[in-house]
Amino acid sequence: MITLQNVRKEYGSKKKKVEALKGVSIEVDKGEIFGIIGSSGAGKSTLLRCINGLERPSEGSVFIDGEELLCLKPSRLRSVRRKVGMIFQHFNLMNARTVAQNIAFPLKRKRLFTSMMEKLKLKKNTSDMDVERYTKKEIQEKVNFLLELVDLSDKRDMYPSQLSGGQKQRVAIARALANNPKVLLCDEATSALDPQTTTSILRLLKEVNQKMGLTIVLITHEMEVIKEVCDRVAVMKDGEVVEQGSVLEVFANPQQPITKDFINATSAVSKVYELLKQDSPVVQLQKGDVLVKLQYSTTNTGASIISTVSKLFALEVNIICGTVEVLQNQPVGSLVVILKGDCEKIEEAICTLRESQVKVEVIKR
Amino acid sequence: MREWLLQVIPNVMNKLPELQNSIIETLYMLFVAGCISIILGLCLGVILTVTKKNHILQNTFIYAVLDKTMNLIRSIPFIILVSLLIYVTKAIVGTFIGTQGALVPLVFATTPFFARQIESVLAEVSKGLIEASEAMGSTPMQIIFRVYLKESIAGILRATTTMFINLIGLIAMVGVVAGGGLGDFAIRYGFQRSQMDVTYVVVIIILLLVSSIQWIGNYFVKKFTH
Repeated sequence: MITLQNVRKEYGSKKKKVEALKGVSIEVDKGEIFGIIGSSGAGKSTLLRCINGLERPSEGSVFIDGEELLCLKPSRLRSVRRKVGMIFQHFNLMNARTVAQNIAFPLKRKRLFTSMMEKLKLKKNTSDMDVERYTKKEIQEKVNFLLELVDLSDKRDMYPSQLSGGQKQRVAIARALANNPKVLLCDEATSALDPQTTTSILRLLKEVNQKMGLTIVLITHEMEVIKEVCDRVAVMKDGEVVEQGSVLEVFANPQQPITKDFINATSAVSKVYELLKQDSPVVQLQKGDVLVKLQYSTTNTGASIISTVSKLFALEVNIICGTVEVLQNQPVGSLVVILKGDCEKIEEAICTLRESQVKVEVIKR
Repeated sequence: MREWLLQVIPNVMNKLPELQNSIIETLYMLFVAGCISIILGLCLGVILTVTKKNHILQNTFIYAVLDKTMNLIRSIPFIILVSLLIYVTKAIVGTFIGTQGALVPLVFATTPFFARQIESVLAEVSKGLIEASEAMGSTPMQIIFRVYLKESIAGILRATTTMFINLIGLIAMVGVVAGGGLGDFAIRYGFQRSQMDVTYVVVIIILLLVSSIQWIGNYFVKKFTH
């Protein structure tokens, strides 16, 4: 659906060149939700803007639905853009228009001068100009449908200033969907919202993804968002994609330190390091005890690991903290536990765990 | 009542038709020069906004020329502008004196000022909103009319109010080219013949005029602010 090949983007003059993108290649399949995560300044916003041509890459190529974006005429580019919706962190609604008028904005696109000329009979009807035109009634129906979809039918005649952040983003989503786009780009769409609202917006995105078969590309700096909705994820750092793959893969087996940081930021397991630093009584070990971190995914589940180890090797397993996530119907988790028991048995247990594809990291003994 | 007025403002009462005439002249200049300035100023303000660097129709040449020209005109005091423009005025309206002759310098003085105000009003439309409209596939013309102008109606109305009030001040000076109007009336009788009551009455009329413009302006600004 979307292919970016070796996209580079440079800003500034020759003397002070800033490279925002250093050769990024990604491929987004039809109907999937593709997440791009990175800290601020990583170039993810620039990358997203390259997809609909708001930003012109200095080098490389961008294909949407097989069409190379960079060699299109402005008018053709505009009609491609109509098939690519976009929502923003700060919603970007028109304050002088009501909710319904905002949603209708992309639908009313008769060119001013064309319609004037037509009225004056100076120009023949040019409705074939690859611009769909809707009658008033069609626009009404479409707006009603979209209002229903985003659950704001009662707010249709309100102005954006009367709405909450979450409601504004819903209006923005409805507006982005008005032209029946094939792709929806989300630029930090949930970053200005509180956690509950974020969840409801993400649920809405998932819903439109499934109902309409919409391809969604979203950028964020929050791993939570990626976990909630994305199928695949790319991790960006300093203008480069350092890691990409299915969310499950990346979560279960992060390769790059930056990815690990993002994952740790949402995981309770990282707390254990803080506890260790503070020398908290929770992580005080008696002689012979071993503090380990277990990471497992896909094939084995947490419960059976613990009980198996404990039974087989007659160990006491004390769980300190842990997180278990269900990603794409597969549990992925990590636990921090203290193993108590015979020294040799503990070593055997660790070996067994490693054999059954659980990653074991001895934190302290 | 009439008796009392004759006592209080005798000099005004004996030239009522002339006063009426100057009010009409002032209103005429206000309306004609104001409307032309609104149209020209809006166009120039929009052009200034969209040709600025990193805006939808970026064009540094056009921007620089307009920007410099406007600063130039704005730095010339009105009374000097009137005499500077006499040949231009003559070429446009056929004469450089009288009410007609006053219109051209009025427009020249008001338009750059109004265009600057429009420019600053349009600058308040958020960059993100323009980006969103571009992302929706709007043409530059659609962005100008349906986003820039539509979003800043309240600000444009506020600028228009200020412009009209300013214009009243300028109109008072066109007596210098026999432009007529209330200012001319007050200078001729109130100042040159020391008939102070004429000045007082003119001040009151101008005050009423300014207040009603402000009131109408505020009403519409409020109506279009959401």
